Amino acid sequence: MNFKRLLCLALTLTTICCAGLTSCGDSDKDNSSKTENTAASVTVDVISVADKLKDEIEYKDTLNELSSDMVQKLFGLAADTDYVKGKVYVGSGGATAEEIACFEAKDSDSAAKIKTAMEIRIDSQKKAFENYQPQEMTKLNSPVLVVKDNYVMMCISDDNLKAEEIIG
Amino acid sequence: MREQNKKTVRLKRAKLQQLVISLSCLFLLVFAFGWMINLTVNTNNIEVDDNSSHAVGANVKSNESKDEDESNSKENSSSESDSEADSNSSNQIEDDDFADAAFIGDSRTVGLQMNTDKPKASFYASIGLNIDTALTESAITLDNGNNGTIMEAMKQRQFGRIYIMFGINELGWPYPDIFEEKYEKLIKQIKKVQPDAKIYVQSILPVSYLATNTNAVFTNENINDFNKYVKQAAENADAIYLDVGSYFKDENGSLPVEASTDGIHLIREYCQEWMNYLANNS
Repeated sequence: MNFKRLLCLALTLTTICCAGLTSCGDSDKDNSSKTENTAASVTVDVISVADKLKDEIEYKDTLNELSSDMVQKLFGLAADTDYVKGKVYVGSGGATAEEIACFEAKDSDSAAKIKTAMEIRIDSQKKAFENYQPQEMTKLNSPVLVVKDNYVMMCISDDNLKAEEIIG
Repeated sequence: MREQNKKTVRLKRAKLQQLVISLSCLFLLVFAFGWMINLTVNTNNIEVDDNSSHAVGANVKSNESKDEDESNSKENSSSESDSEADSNSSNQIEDDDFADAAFIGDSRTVGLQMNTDKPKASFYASIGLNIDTALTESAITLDNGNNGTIMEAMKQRQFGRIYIMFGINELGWPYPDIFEEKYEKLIKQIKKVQPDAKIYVQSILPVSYLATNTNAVFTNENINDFNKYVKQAAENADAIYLDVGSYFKDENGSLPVEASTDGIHLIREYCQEWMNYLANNS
């Protein structure tokens, strides 16, 4: 009798402890999921905008993605310090000025730095193309460069309307 | 008798109560145990997700690696019938980071930079640059962020290998001997500031028929003619002549039409082949 009572008491205490622990774990899990969901939606936005710009606009050139090391070399933007996520597509070099660059900056200062880097890039391309491929100046003179909070998105193409529609 | 019956009933009731409580506790224990297992599995998943979100800075790189893998697999599948040397060259591009190399040239060399992912290599190339403006125009971004000429860029550090390619923008020049003279002058000036570097002068790459749409001077006959002057300039300046142009010629002596969107500038796969050639032949 005493043994059964002790067993019941032990089981009850164990159950209460477990229930307490699991409920704590559950609340942690909920918090983590919220953070993760927020981060995931941001990740999808920037990368998918770049991909949509590439896939849904017609380009004369074939566009290829640049590695983060090359982005740092060409634009002076470092993956760890300047932007959280980014995707850059460039053409074959000299055939056209077609280009896509989408970044999620670390903060507003970084966003301003990225915007300046994009403007420098556009100016540099203008100088390079003006005597070499003058027909490319049409797109370089009206590039789509959008800054929204910490997001900086650039698209140099023949279809600015579509680019603006995708960027939103 | 009545007292004994009451005692029996109490005893049965107590036993039943104990049984119900024991079963309830057991059920709760099993439930809690199952929940804990579930929680442990979920926690591990969150840790994995957290790791991936900490690594977002490397997203571009990992995507690029994926692209590289895809293009490598494309290359591999398309070159099944290629020679062993070609498969060796595919390995070479990943091994050689060209950290000791400088690449000098026009838009075609800009394309080489954009499409071969060699961030440690130095590219002193600009769209529209030619053998004349190479010595005079401040078209190169220097290490300090300012613009400068090729020679100013060359003075920034010492290189082990220097690759030069000019000629496509000079095809309309009426006097190719002046082209040769200026090419020789550039090589000699580079040699003066880079005495220990091996200087490779590359032949002009062929064009496809699409190039003639841009300008009538873009013919392979004209390119072959200019390449004689390129070779002579290299010999006169005691540099190494690399006939990369012949490597890209098809059976008609042209650049394969699929190698370029405009007949002049190479797409990524062909730029990688070009870099492979340089890795294997220098």
